[in-house]
Amino acid sequence: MPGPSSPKLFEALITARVELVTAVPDSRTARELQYLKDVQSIPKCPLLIQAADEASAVGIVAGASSLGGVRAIAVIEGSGVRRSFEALSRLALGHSLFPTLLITDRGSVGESDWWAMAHKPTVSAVLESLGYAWEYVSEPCDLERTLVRMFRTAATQQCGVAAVRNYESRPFGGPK
Amino acid sequence: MTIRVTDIAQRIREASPKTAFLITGLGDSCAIVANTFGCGLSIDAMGSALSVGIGLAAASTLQVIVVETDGSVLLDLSALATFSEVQDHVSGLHVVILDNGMYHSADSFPRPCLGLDWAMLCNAFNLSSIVVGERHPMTVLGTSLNEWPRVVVCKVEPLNKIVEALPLDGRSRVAAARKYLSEGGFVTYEPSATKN
Repeated sequence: MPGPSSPKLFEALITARVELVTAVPDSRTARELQYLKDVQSIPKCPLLIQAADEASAVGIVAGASSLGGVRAIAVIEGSGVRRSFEALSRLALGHSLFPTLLITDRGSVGESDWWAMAHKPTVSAVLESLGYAWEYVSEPCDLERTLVRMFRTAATQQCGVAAVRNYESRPFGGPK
Repeated sequence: MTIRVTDIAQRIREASPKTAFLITGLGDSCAIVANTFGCGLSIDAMGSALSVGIGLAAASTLQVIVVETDGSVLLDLSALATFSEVQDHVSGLHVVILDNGMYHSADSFPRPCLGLDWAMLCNAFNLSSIVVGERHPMTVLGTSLNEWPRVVVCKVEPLNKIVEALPLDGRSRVAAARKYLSEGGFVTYEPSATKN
């Protein structure tokens, strides 16, 4: 269960009663996901399914939540939103299957990697075109409340829901 | 040697428990299987049927059968890697790939890599498999789905007739599937509206 050394993501997932997490790790989420992987045997820990592709990840969430009835979320980077756009389009627009997404923001002010600058404009474009309800999470302490609110909206089954984390994640318990 | 789609469709139905849930992908071959099976969900999302099936199987105790076509599977091949990674958590999930070597809806245009060795591919992903209709007759498949390997690839003969489109659009199909799963007691959904 959450403790002093658990990352904010894990605590937020537990509070939001998420039962399944699927993820394609990126540099900002790797440590959080490794922690989640390490504590899989803890009661109420969400099942982690590491996907090899974001298109698979969103399909898994669609199956688990819209059909399977559990709270599920895909943890992906902004580029993964592009990668999964075809699957998201078919699932959301054609079938009203709405995968819930937690997206790592790249390309905002402060970004130092040139290749990441292209992520930002396309993330918002994809989410808007699919009619997703989405917002930024700018502080780690807001993540828990945001996830709870996300699933409240997801339960209406009227649109997809996403949150974009645009605070720089630091390895919990240590320097960057 | 190839198998008729109607025959494998019937075989899948007979081997599946009554409570099994079928998810099919795109294509006329899948439509035939869906019509034979009776209960499930057909999604027109190229390459996504397996992923959706993994999600449903991981979230429930249902036995889930995913039927895909060769072209669709190739669009999201890495889903097989994900399936392999999580196969212990989705023990009730089986995949059937209907391989006719073409895109039937695109005027039967041949798909690339017709010599694809499915058995070797599945083995590379650490998934048990069998290819029927080429190396093995369909009769090698056990009478119960539990006896089948995780992936069954069926070399099926091309369809020579127009298959009647499945009724309902995607959204209606999902609504019907949710209704079936909910009323059957297989899944409990969160209420879609709560009082604040």
